Amino acid sequence: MLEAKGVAFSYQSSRPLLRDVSLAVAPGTFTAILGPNGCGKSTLMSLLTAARSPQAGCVLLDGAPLADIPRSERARKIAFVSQHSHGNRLSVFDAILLGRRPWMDGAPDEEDLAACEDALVHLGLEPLALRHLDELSGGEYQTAMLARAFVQDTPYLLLDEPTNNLDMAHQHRVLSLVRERARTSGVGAAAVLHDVNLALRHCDRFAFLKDGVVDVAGGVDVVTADEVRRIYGVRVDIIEHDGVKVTVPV
Amino acid sequence: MEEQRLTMQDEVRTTDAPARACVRGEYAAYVRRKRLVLAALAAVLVATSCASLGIGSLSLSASDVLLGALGLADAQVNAVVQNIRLPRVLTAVVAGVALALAGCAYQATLRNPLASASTLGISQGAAFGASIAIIVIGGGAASAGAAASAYEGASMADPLTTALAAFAGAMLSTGVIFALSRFREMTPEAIVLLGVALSALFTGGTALVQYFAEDSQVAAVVFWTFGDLGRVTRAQLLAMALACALSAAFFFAHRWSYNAIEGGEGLAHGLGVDVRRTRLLSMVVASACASTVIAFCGIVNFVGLVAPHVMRRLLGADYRYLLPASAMAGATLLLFSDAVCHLIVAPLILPIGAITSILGAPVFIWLLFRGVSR
Repeated sequence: MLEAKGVAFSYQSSRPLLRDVSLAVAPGTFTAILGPNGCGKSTLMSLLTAARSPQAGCVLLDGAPLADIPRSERARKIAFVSQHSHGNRLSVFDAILLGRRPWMDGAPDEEDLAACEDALVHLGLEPLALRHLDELSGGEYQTAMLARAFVQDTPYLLLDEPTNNLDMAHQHRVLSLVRERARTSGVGAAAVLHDVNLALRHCDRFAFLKDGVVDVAGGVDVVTADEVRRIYGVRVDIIEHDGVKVTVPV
Repeated sequence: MEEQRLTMQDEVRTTDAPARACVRGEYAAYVRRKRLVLAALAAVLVATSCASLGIGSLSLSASDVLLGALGLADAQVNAVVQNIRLPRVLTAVVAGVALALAGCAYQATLRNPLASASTLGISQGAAFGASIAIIVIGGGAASAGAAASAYEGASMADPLTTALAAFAGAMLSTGVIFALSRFREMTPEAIVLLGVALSALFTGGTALVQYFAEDSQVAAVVFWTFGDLGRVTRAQLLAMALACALSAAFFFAHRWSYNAIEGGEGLAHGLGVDVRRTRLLSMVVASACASTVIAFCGIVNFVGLVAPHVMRRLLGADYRYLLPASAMAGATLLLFSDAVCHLIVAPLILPIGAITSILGAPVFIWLLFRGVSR
């Protein structure tokens, strides 16, 4: 279990951002972290990856304070797909191989290479294996980033706005790959998302963040028309299609 | 209901053996190609070194050079090869490797293609340090020993004092960056801008010191800044080689961290890289490495900027290959520039710093127009 317990963080003391946030990412679940722009979703991610330290409260990984876990150990437990990453002149294979860094001792061994191959083939990236990252389309790039997170082989997987700038097909593909990972490998996944419908389609846990606190969190039941209106100020109807909830603005 | 959700499951492919074997084979071939490029670069470096041994006021054939290096040729050839040519070629190789590696490490950790010893205030700091040594510290002694000076009309401080002062000046900007980053988190952009500001500060300081100096002292400073591979003694060469070897080992040990940092700080952090620490340590090591070379050889511009850029185009941004390739390219570039210095208006030897800039700048501009993807 990766959990934030009453964490607080603000960049300026005059403007508190996260006041008292508790959130748990359990193995085998896929949590959507939702909320309006600027409510601190990405900051919460940075606390969960220990890129920043909470000013109050704590983050626990399997019961131990995250801050006390050595960096290298942490990288074997939590993989993070950042919102801001840069394509460069690194081949896709090598970029994915980079995900094995926490497990590598100098040069990659047979196991590292095999893990990369598996991920490439599994995600259908093999025709792109030797292309440079900066030559990929947005969707291909994000798929490669996902492959990198997969080969990192961690029990927890965090994604910050993984569907940004992706076409419809890639949005669904990326999230269904994460969902599959959570279901079949028991990975605890959480993603910051903006599209409530995408979240409803692929996630099984939902946390709405607003005004520095978790407004509500839980299963699909917590996603109601009232809640969406309270969080985003948008009036919606919620209908069901093929057993999946869908929000429709009215 | 669950079933229905899964029917819309986007195709997630299962592992199939032929595709795997294919990916594996292609990657192996790709790695072989990179290694082949490295081997070719090594061959070019060796060939350039050998050719360089034959170049000078006494032109020597390949067999003369070989016999001379082994001490089997006649006394004059032995002396020329062992005492002049070999040290000069080794100096060029070590200096080229050191400057290119430092440039490569700066560019990696600051994620900035402009980062190099000459844009981060290191060269300017060295020039300032040397000016202080030659004009302020060496001022009294120099007027007495002016007649014995190596350069006509130029007074000199003790070369070791100059080198030490230049080293101190060169490390000053890194020291400032390091000190400030302890108080406040410094972004790579802030570090580069700070380097530019410190460069201006050092240039201004150097101008002021020179303004109050005598002509002969200014001449000495100018001679110093020209850069000269021939003034390096064996002990200094050894010191440079040691600094270079230690830094190379440090950089190579961090090759995967550099790959991660290039992808962004969030990614690097997620992979267990302490970005801040790696950045600061790499900067200190790179500065120490470049400063050692600059302190002994004077200012040699552009090698640290151009060599990694050219290699990035040729080999991509994987630091496993980029570091050794840049090192060899830097050495080759410096050897080639040194040869040009000796040949272009022989028997006059042109200043190496000017030639590396004159040769490097057009290459750099050409690269820009080809579109460096960074």
